[in-house]
Amino acid sequence: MKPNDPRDIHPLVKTEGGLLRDMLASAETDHAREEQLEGLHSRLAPLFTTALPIAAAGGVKAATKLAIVKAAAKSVLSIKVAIGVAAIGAASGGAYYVVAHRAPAIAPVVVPSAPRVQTTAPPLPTATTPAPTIDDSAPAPSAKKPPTTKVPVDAAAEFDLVQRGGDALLQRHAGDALSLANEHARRFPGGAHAEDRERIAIEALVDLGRTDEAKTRARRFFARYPSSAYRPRIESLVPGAR
Amino acid sequence: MSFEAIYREHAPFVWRFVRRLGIHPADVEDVCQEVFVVVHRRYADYDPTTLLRTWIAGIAMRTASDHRRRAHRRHETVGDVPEGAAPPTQGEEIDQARARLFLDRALDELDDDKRAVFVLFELEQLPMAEVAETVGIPLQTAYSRLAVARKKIEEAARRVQLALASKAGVR
Repeated sequence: MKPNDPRDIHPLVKTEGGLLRDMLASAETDHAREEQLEGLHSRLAPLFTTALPIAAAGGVKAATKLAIVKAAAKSVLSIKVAIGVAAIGAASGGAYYVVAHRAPAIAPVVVPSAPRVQTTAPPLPTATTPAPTIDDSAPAPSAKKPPTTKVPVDAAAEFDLVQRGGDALLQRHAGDALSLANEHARRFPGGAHAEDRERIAIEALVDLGRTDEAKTRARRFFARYPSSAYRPRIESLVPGAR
Repeated sequence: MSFEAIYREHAPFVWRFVRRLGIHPADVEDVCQEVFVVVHRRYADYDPTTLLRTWIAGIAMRTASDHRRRAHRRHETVGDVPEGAAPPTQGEEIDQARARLFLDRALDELDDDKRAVFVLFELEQLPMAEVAETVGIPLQTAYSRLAVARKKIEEAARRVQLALASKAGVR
């Protein structure tokens, strides 16, 4: 990580003495250590040899819906890879600066420009091993589906673009993030996630060192979204744009 | 995708997320295990039109919430300074462990949804659209919960700051 990289200076609520900055930055200690993940892996080992349940009726319906999304939007949903973590904060009406700690990618990055393959379809059973012996008493998730599961195809495709752009940004693939944001701007200029898209584009431009463009786009952003939740973050990344 | 591949891809996120949802460090592994057991058991319910991460995060939220209710943890007021904690002198940064403790206490003041929104947006840095979907609330509601959460966290930090300053004053 480059020292004094503008991407590492993130907005954060700055209270007297920078205590809140320290508090949020301390979340960096929440990363699992390799041995902890391996310990958990061992505990879950019985499940790794047990086939995932095949999608029931609902899952089949969902898979059909996905096919429609793919065909109509020409956009394939993708599983996202490991998430970089940054200690970030912001609040209305304050000064915000913090050193963020973007974690290195833990898993290989899916290159957004490459054809994406839906990898989440439940696989066929591969084993008939006995039921796992670990405790299976965990609470079941509610049947409630997130609101976006019923959105039109275009909305799903739009959401997918924004998520891919956001993940590319987290992985510090600024060029990919900018391409995805620009693709979103072309296809969904007034889309529901235009604010997210602009934030991604601005941060990507900063990452790429295209400061003037970032500033221009940030000014437009502030004019259009004066009370955006992203405003403090963008103000700290693009000083002088407000 | 095999279940092991799902684990490899999402375990680091789940680990951080449940920790930040208020699970004691000593319990994080147990809760993560519960999460992945549910992921395995309920995989047929997964709707692939949503991100797998979103679905898993929803399971993590519910599992962590249930665990916290069962744990009956002793509630401590934000602003209480740990015994023996020396107040920082001017310019001295508080150590990371204490800062993390204060963060926990500040986050504990938020209800489950606001905490999840704050953690996912501010710490995990996910787009708000994904945050809203994970928590299962409309986008605008997510924004308003973030605003409330930020305010509460700021207030909590100020109270800790005052408590530290007060302790420094009586010494």
